[in-house]
Amino acid sequence: MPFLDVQKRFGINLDGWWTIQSAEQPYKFPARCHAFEKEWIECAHGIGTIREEKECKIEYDDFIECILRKKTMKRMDTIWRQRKKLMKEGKYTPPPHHMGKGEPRP
Amino acid sequence: MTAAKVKQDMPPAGDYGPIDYKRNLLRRGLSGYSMLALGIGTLLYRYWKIIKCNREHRRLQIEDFEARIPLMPLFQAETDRRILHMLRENLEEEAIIMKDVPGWKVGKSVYNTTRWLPPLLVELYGLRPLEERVFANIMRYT
Repeated sequence: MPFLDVQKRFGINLDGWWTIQSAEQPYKFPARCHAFEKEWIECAHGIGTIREEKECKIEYDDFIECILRKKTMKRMDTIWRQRKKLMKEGKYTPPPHHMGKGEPRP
Repeated sequence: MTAAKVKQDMPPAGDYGPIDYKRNLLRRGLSGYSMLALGIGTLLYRYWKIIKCNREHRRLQIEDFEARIPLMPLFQAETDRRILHMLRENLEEEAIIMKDVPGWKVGKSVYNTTRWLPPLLVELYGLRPLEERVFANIMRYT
């Protein structure tokens, strides 16, 4: 209920652990994007959506990037395409440790 | 009607032997109560044995942990060094590959924050052959 926190009044926690990634977990295992989500929620809590979209854009972008990894994969994709192009033109050969012949190290 | 001499199925000569229809329970073996006592006694003995074996197993497991836990900082330090070394190599390769691309910042982080994030498998092994990445994926969970 919106203004009556029933679960806190009775001291029970039926669904608090599955609502967000940053909730209290058994054995304290953190989620992968725990820090980003925490920052975003702390920034966005209490203000409305309209204000949040303007003020919390940075935290939100980082959070979505952590989950979806779109920018990372786009960046890797650009590098791979350029690498393939250079290898086809013959201007670039990967060093041995990138061709599977590197020295084993611990 | 007179009984004619017809071939009929008649009992053999001298009639059949006696048929036993009376109750014929064996009077040997354990009684019911003692079989029950034997079963329950076996159960209890085995429960006790399992408890003892579990405790012994737990002692051996603690010994294994005591060997592993002091070595964990060493392994963690080695893993960290290896990851940093691989990231450094990838950064240098990226500088070589992308030097003709206009407007490319080598090593630019895609995040707006400067905290350390554990690198993805694709970031570490992106420029290496595929089976290294597959192997690393398996080794992550062993």
